Amino acid sequence: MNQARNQQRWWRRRRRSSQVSLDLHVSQHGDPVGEAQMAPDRLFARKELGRRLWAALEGLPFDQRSVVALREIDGLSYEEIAFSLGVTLGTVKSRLTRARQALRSVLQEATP
Amino acid sequence: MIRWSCRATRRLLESHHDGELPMEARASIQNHLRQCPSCSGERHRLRQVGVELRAAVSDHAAG
Repeated sequence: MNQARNQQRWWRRRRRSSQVSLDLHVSQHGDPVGEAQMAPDRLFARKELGRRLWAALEGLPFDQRSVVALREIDGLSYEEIAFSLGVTLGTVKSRLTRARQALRSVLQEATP
Repeated sequence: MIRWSCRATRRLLESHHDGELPMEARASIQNHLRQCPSCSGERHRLRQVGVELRAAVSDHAAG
């Protein structure tokens, strides 16, 4: 696990030069709707969905959870994930597909 | 440009969504997505998983 983290740090350092600040992103693409502007029922539904998704993420097998987090949260490429975890590209793809299917079923239940 | 079927598009949609396809395949899939509401809906649902997951993680981190 530590080796995977070290490799991930190395990739992040490599990628940092292409990243932009949040302020720059907002100035170019606009600010998303803030929670303060959301109607209470919509805000509640959003929080509830967040709780369910978090629970679903925690409920995933470790192999799937790590792959989907590295892709969707950290934005790593398939190659970077394969390198970080010491698995093949095919394994990354299949774990990612299964993880997304599980999370998607939670989304579908919450927003029929 | 190759014309893609729905089946071929669905098979590669996730890789396309993740920016993992070569330029030519990407262009062909984008072309198919513009013409196919069903596949483009599938792409939207795939995108929503990431959007909602990031929101959930952010909410959880904020407490």
